[in-house]
Amino acid sequence: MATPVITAQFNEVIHAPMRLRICGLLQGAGEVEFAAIRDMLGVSDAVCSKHLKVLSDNGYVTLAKRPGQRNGHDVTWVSLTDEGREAFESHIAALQAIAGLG
Amino acid sequence: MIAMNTPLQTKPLPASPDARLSAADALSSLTSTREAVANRFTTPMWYKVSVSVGFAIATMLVWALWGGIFSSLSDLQIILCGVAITAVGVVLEVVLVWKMERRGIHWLTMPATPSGWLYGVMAPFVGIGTMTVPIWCNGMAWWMALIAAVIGGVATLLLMNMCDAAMRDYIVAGGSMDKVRLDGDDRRDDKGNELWTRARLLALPDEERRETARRLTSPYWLHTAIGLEAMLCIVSALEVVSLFKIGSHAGGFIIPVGSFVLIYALDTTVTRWTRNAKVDTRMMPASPVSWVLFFAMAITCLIPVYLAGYGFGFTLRSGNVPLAKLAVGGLVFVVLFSIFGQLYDRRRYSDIVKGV
Repeated sequence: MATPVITAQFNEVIHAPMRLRICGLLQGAGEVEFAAIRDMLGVSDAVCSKHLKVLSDNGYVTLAKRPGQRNGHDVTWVSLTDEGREAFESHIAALQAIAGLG
Repeated sequence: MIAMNTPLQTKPLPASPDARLSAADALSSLTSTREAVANRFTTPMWYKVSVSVGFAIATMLVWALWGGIFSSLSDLQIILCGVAITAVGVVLEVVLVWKMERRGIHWLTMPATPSGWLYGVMAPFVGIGTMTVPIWCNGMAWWMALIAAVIGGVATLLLMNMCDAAMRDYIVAGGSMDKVRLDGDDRRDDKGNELWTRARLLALPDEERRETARRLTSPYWLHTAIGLEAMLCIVSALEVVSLFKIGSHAGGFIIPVGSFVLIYALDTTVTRWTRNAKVDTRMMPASPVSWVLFFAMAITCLIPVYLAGYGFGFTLRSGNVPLAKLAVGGLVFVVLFSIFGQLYDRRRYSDIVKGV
């Protein structure tokens, strides 16, 4: 099976430190609960929400609400879209090239 | 450290010393993020230690049963011992699932790398294999059994740790756990929002909601199939224990092999229905009556736990599987589980139709 070719492409939206980390953890873990992202980044709900909104507005992540198991309230699950995954991988390739690791 | 095995095409990019430093910092921050992700997927140490100690204790128990130390115990005491061991194992698994469910990830995954597979398969193999040492070396001294138990326990713990370490390396290197998810709930990816969650059902107009709820209510055979599957798992596992205890005998492999085939067929049928119906399998009860039926169903599940423990103790003691008692107990379980399961399922959807 042919493997996809990744072109290094610096991405201003993803490069912001918090958004880069969000994309990194979503790429590693797949779909992640909002609270887990917030805890792993060690930021407030508002900060986490703000960055997710930027990524979502750019079509890089999807936010899905589902009934939670603990108290019946809806829980937000976040995952990278195909476009987001591609943009993130291209951005990492660009960073590696800049840092002389590529 | 991008996605593995992916050819890279780079464009010439301006790279001043400051830019290089900034890019290196950004990549370094990613490594710490990936380590945090790996921590979420790692099995807790208390679980790994409990399993290892459990295997060591089980090895000593097998030695005691085989070596005659427990020969003065009555059948009932041996059987109670089997029930206690099974109950502890079930509680351990339930606590693990309860803890992992709170990590905010889809934690049920296969090993991500070949080395992970190797360690993951070897861990239980070594643990269970150590339990059989006192059987193969009949009449071994207590201290030899103790050494075997400790070595087996430590080896199991090390292998489980190595399995986790392999997964950690995979994630830190940029691997995605999404590719090895085991819960198989790709429907949860919400592509086209196809999964029938309670919220989605409640958003429908009354008439459409009633029709959809009717369609989603499980068929009569579903809970019976699940109950039968559980009982077949117990019987086939006990037949394997029996083979270890008294050696191979005429038709000794027929029941386990036949059971595994039936289990596969039942599991495939149940899974197919659930997938086709696109039901949210994590939907919780909505009303007090639903909760009562849910608990009744959960309490019914104690029957196979007891039967497994009883059968385990009995088989270790006598070498024969108590098929008659398992059949009666299993029948009671399957009937009760089917009735409560059906009542619960119907009540759950009737609550949804009412808009609870």
